[in-house]
Amino acid sequence: MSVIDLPALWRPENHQALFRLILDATARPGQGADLSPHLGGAHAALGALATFCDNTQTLADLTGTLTDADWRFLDVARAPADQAAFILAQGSDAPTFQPRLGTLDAPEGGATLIVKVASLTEGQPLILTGPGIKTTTSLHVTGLAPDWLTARARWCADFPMGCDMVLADDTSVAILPRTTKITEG
Amino acid sequence: MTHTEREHWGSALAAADPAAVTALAGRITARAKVEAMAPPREGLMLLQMRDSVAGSPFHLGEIPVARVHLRLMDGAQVAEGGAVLMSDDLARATQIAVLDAALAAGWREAPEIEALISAGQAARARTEADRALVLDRTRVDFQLLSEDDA
Amino acid sequence: MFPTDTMAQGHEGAEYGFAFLDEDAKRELRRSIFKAVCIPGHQVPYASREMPIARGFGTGGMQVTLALLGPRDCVKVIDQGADDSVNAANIRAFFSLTCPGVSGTTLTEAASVIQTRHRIPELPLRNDQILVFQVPYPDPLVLVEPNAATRRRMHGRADYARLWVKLYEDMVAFDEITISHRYPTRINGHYIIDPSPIPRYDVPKLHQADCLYLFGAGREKRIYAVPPHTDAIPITFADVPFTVEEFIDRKTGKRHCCRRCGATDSFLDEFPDEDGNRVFQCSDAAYCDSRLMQQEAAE
Repeated sequence: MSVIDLPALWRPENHQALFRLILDATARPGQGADLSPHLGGAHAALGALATFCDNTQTLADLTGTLTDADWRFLDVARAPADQAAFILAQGSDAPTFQPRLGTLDAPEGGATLIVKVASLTEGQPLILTGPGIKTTTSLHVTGLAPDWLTARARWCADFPMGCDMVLADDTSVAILPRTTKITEG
Repeated sequence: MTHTEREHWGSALAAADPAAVTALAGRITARAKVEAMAPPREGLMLLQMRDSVAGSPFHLGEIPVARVHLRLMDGAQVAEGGAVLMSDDLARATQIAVLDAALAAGWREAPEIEALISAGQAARARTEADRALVLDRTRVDFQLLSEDDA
Repeated sequence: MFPTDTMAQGHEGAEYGFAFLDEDAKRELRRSIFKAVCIPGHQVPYASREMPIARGFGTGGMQVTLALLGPRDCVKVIDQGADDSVNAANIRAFFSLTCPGVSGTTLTEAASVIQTRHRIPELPLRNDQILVFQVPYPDPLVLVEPNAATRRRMHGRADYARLWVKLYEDMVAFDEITISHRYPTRINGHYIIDPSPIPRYDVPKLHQADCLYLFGAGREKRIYAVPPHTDAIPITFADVPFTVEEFIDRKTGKRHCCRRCGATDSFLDEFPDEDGNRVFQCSDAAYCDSRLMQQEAAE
């Protein structure tokens, strides 16, 4: 016996693979990334958290879906939504919180929102433009309350300050960095 | 029954004979299933200390730390244990966490684990005595220095 | 699919975890890279770790690459365009020791991650490739402002007036902008970055590229990024266009060509040959080699 066998989601090689998929999706906003080969059956939102969280970070779970075991494995401190570096939220519930937006000197302090949605392949398309997108691209999403888009537009109005969104359905993610402009198609 | 507090088991076992620790942990894991309660972590951590004059905290530097939190399951018997070592040896931290769990739950290997803890504590006491001797030679009495100057 | 492995695999490297850095360090790098891509051009601070080579020899680029690499990657390392210089060869050997499974290549088109010092490869990079720069000085405002906190404030407010003044003074004194490399480049209309010591010739390749560019400064502990399809405009004046090296032979009025492969469309290194004559050769060794092979195949 050397080291304990871990569930797939918590193995370093899967964190590397998840990160590369997430990085690619961040560099190309709106382009979905199928995380399922590296999740071991877990939700894609938990996959994104597992990629980024450790005992130096803070997380607010507004969905109440994280189990005790999830918290232990994430090894992340709990914080209220207005102070947390990462926020896990339910897309069907309109946002009622104010996330961290960073400062002009340190905009990287803006929160990363991980929002669970019903599907990233169906629904009315959102038209996206901005860095990472050649001309325009469309993102299909269901299970995201319309208030999210108005709240996001308000949070990201003063570049470089803002917050970055990871939309996650069961198996895949699409990412909206603060620079992406959204119009409803 | 051991009189050592649980918080000192890890440091004592880390000082005990490594081969004996490996063998005993191997026997326990041969019959019990091991499950991680949190991901085993191994890496550099900032060591915070307090200076002895003003008592203000400062970062001494980075130290390697290996940390394991696990659960043993042998039929209906369940034992939970952990270990944090100042080392980059995750395998060793895992073995010590296994012994920690078995002893805390009073499994049948408990007397052997207690013996290892006693041996480890004796080894630590010897090291500490040696270090105290070395340290004592470097002690300076500043009052005497100022008397010489006068 | 990939060419024969150029890295001697099978070294004893097992005493470290995959990719040398511990998982906490890699996770921290990944968080910083993520934020760097979300805020194009912003220098994100990170905890630059001690590496087994000295700071200033590419530790920033190495840490970014190590945070990216997985066993299915194919990596290329270049220094001034060459795969076989000391810095590149040693960094490649280090990846080979610490990343079992990762293959190495000298072919630009075969690499999934390319780490570079001072050049962008001639062959346009694809959307499945990442170019990682080794950056000695991440902040272009160092020229005009010594205080780091003040520079951060200037960046946040996109206050680059003093940088423009510096360029104007160049024009007054020399009739041209004298910056030959590390040319200040504005990303997505806000931040101005130091694109590392690439020649002016390579700066336009940052603009609206297909690939992702990541910059790692180990000594200065900063990571920044230029995402694909993002504006990257070298700063200049309306009446003073940005120009790149042209390699025009003053005698003939024609462009110099590479003495090996005859290329007239690549960045050329100039040096004296055995007889003391000025000669020119492609700086990108892989590009030069692939042209030579094509010519041999055609004959």
